Amino acid sequence: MKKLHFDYCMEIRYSADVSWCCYTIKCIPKGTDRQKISNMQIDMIPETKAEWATDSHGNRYIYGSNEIPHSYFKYHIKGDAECGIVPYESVSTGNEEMIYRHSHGLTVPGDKLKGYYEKLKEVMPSFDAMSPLEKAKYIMEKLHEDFVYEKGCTGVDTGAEEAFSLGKGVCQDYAHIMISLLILSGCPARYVTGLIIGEGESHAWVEVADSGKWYGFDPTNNIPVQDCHIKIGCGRDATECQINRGIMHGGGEQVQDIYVNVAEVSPGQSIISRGALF
Amino acid sequence: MNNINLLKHTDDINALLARYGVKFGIYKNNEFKEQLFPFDAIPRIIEHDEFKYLEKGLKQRVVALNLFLKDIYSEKKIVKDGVVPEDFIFASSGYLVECDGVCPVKGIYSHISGIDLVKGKDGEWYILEDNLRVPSGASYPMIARELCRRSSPGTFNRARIEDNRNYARLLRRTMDNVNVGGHTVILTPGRYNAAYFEHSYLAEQTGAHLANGSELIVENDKLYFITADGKHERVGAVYRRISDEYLDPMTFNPESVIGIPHIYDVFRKGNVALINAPGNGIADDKGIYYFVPKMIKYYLGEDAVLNNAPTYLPFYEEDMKYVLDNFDSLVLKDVAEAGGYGVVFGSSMTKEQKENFLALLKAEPRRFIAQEVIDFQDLDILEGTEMVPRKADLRAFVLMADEPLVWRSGLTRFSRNPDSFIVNSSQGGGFKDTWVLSQ
Repeated sequence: MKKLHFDYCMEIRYSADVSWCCYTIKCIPKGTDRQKISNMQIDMIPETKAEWATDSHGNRYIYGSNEIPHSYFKYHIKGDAECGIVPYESVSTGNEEMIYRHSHGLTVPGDKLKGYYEKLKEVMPSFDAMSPLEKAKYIMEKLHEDFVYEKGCTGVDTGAEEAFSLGKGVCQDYAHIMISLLILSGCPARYVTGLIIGEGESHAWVEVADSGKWYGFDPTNNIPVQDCHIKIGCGRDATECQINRGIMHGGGEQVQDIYVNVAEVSPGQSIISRGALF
Repeated sequence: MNNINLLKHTDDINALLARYGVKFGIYKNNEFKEQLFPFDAIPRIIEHDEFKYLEKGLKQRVVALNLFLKDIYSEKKIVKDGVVPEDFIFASSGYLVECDGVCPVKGIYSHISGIDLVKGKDGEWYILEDNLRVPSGASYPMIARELCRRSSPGTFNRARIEDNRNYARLLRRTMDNVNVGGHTVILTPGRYNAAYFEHSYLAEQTGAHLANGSELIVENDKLYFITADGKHERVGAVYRRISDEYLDPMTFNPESVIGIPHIYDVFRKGNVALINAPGNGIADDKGIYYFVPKMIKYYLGEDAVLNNAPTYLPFYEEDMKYVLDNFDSLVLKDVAEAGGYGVVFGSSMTKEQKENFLALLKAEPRRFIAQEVIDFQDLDILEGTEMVPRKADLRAFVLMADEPLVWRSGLTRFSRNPDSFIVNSSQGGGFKDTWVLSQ
């Protein structure tokens, strides 16, 4: 277990006034059995009245609008997170698994992914008898070997099949591909957005359900999710847990900056420990 | 019944319909065209007892469909109990995950249901499809009746016909039933929408505000109507004539410019009623159609009063075999398509088309349903001075307030092409008034 302090800050500078805007911000970590959140604070410029809500995946968010002209927008979320209290998150309603057992949107596999899945099964004769956790670990390791981390070749709306065909991409692509493969193998799987120690941006990984519990796997780093990952939200794919979404009138050219920092409050031993789950 | 005087007025009535703007807009080859919705003055007449029977079956069906929607977006018992396979729900484009765990006001999902039926030559009625999203069409028989009465008052003097001009009152009651406080608004995408005449007519007849997206705004977790002098007045119910996808760019399609940002957030909190509720597409999917009799049994413990057309799901191996063996006698429908599109008759395919189709069917069996071609009764229409038979269906409207209510009329659509079975107005058909006898 680690105690982490997190900062997530997004700012947009506009070349002209925005006359009206509305926003939904889902960058709000939630307390679960795996992570405890405390001292959370949300600051916004310009200050607006925001409403709290929870979406169908259980993600908490704030939303609102602003009709005072402005050329600068910023939100900053910070707080403390105790992570890895237990290595899983309990399924809360009993319905959840069903929803995440079918690929949707960016995780729908095509021929290439289906072919790859068959190959994975072939070289692992005991595959069908494996538990979801074992399958996830196996798929993660294989994917990590066969897929290359490279920025700039995929975008936010690149699907699993397309990224897999390219053979390279970023954490979002790793996660989509892994979900696609897990669902092909019959395991409920979902996309997770979050923060991780040592990264200057948000991160994405995968959760797989096994015996009523969701376990996190980080295919980009080839590690199970333990105490250095702060979960923000989840969905069937990246589009369902977008960290923020907005519409504005006016504004001209815009420049967006994101600042993310996650640091241990009381430095412990190794930052990333492998394989404790297995 | 003596309709001769009424028939003489066919041209007058059509001229009046044109003058009132009773038009149907369609997009063809990326061009918007408004066309008249041709009216045939020979009414479809349904006997009192026959309609009583239809009423019973329609109410039962719509009650079950509402229970199904409530179940799917909450406990999913019907799936857990193995009555409907998971694949038909969660892999369907009609299932909106955003609706999961969200309960609409009073648990009503389909306030206005348009159920399409046909009467077979065997004298039996069959359900063709359920329309639970934004079914349109009630305004056409409403205004047609009004104009017929005006043109030929004598016809209606002695006839024992249920007055269908009460639709506006029923609709108002249905909207008021779920209004959480404030105005009732009919939300239209605007005058280029296919059913704009209907939006404006229903607003006029019910006394609701007709508004487009830019006249509504979300503030403080509530929805407001912006009045002409700039005041913001609370809205309690929205009869939205915009599909789910375009309703709220912050939750659904971000490209939508006809929706209202954050209206779904307000709905989620129960601070506004949306009529019909978002997410209904999962219940009127052509794949789910097969399961409606089963859901009636499951939720109500009753046998379905009204028959489905005999339907096969190639998803089930046994049904696939039947479909392959009897291909030429079946009609095949793509579950994702609507409006008469994606419907093909096995018998009318060329050898090559058939091969291509079978390959597709085998690759994606869940995507299709197959049905026996129902030989449905023709109705006479007037072509010039001649009566000619044409295929026709009936869209019945079921309104759900505290109790389900069937409107004692309906939209009878007919195909103008003598060889066509497809009666959809988007494919050039016409319509008739539907007379339900009151005794």
